[in-house]
Amino acid sequence: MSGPGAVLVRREISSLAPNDPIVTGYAGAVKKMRERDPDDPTSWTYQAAIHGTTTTPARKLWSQCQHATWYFLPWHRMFLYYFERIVRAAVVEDGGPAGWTLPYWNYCLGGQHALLPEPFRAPASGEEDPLHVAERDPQLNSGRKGLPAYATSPSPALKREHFVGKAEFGGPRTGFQHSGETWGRLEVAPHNAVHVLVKGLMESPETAALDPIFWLHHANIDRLWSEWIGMPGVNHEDPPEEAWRNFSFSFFDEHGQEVSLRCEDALETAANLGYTYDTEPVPSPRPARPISPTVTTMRPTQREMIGATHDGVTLMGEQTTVPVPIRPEAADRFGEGVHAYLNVEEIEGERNPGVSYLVYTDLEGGEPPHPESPHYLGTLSFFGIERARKPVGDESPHALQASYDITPIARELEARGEWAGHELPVTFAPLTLVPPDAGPTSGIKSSPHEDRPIRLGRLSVFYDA
Amino acid sequence: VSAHARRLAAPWRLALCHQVGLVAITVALAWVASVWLWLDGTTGSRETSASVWWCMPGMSLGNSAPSPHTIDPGTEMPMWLLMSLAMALPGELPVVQYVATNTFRRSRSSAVTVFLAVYLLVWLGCGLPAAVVMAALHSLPADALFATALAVAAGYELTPLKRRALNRCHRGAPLPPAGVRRVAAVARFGWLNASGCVASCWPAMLAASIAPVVQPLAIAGFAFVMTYERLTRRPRTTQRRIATSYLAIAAAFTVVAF
Repeated sequence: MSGPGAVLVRREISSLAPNDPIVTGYAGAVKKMRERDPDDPTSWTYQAAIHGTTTTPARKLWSQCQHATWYFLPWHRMFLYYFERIVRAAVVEDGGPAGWTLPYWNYCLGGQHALLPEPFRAPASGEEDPLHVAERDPQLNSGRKGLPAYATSPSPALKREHFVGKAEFGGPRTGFQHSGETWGRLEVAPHNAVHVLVKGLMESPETAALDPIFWLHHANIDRLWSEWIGMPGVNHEDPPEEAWRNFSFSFFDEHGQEVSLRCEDALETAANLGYTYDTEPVPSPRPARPISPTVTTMRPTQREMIGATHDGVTLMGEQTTVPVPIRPEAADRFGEGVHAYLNVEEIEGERNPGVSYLVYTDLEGGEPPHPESPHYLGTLSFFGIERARKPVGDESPHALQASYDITPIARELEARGEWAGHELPVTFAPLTLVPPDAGPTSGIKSSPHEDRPIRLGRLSVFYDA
Repeated sequence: VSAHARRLAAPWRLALCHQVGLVAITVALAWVASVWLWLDGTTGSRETSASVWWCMPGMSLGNSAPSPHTIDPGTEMPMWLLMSLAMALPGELPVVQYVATNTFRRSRSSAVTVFLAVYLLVWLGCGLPAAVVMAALHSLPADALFATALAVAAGYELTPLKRRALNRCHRGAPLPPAGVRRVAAVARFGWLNASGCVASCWPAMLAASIAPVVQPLAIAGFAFVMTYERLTRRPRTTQRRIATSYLAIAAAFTVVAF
């Protein structure tokens, strides 16, 4: 870890000129790491394989990434931290700045920021560029189109009050989980949605980290975690459970040595990991917060299904609306403090169709809602669907599920007398890239994928008091 | 150990439906009955119907000499059901919770009943062939037979067949909320689970049935292995460890036998 006083600042990529030493240093380090022996833990392919790979036989610490779990955020933070140290060492070897930090891609700002950062686009001269990956979406690679606001808006995630839970900010409580069942809100969007919209290597967990933009994308996800924790006026907290705080993961440092870090040690990034983001106030160096034993306070939750579809639905790239019947008894049990959740269950597909869907309750006369509207539930992407049924590591197969908090919508419909005994219309609309001047509700366009259908086994509505 | 305990405890973090409690009580009663039958078989008259459980083909009663055996489904099937309840059902408790949670409150009991009925019928259907196999093996030396059964179970642990069967036990199912379609879907889910369990656990069940040691202990041991294997999040590692353990025990019994 960095010593006291060495707090480095990660910067937004668009604030850096293409010839900034941070950018050129990264490109040089990527090239250098690619030239290393693939068995070297500090090589490009080895580092990417720590996230995921289909190469066999597996080497030490391969396929470790944590998804659909409350370890999603801390694991990726640690992964980036050690990767950054490896890159920094390579940059320094080439005479670059000793304070090199990993930049982040803040597509959340929209407009020009939602375009692929310039140094990563197709080089004009056709020469080889370490940061360019030809397999990405051509329109993204050319800089003509960028990510839609529906995919990049962090609002649904940042609005969550809790870290732990199926529809909460950080994800559900699990054990070590390379391929999980239910994504947390930040993982659903922007994380999954951006992975899928970039396409190419980024579409699959087994190849994603081979694309240099992966690391800038995850730096932004990491920044959003810090932003959520630091949001003024609310009491956002990381999980207090020892099962989370004391869980440790292993990586390789810049010397190729295996190192371990606990989740607890990755929370105070300035104090413990020596970095912060340019969107955060510059902290004064301070010792790490003393670790105090915590008691698990999670209370059991009583779930009750109050509505469900009789049939599943198959998504093949067209906009689809599914009515979910809500039982008349739902009115009696919707007391104060009760939350309502929409679950998309038993999501199955052989391959990722490369399409992200906008998910919303169709209550605005067929018009898609603004990303800040409560009717906008989020997105549904299928990052990692291939390994749900065919796990890469030592895991059992499972289905995928997405969960959305629809309490405000249910309260609204209840007030209108259109909740219990009625149908909740849920729409899935395929998303596509948009021009930089597109409005916030742009980006819906059919994207047929009949060859890679996605089956949603059931849509259900639960109360979770 | 604590990490394993946490993983195994994961399904219980949700408030349990009372149907799960009832099934857990049923499992506990099956164990009480098993121990009582064993005690009755070792201390009381072997002619009592209760002792039949421990007189099933191959089920050892200490040094008692093997004798010709005729299959009596009327007494052996209830015993096979008891064994299924005690050994196979603990691993199904999370599935019972799944079925109950994914059903409207007023339909939970009926859904769980349908699921368990199909699940246990499949196991019962395997009882008669199992009795025939055990009757055929009845006259063989107990130690050598047990060692062979364990070696077969160890080998089976490492086959793709076993892996596929165990994977089937982990499948969920979209359950329609009401009507005949719900009943059919729950029944099909019960069939999928039971057939996966039978295909996954038959060598362990067979070995448990012919273990030449104190029967409740042997059955408890195999039941623990079956349940752990069903619930663990690291199936391949677990299967390798189980296979190694089976082989070690088989080697020990081989030494004793010869």
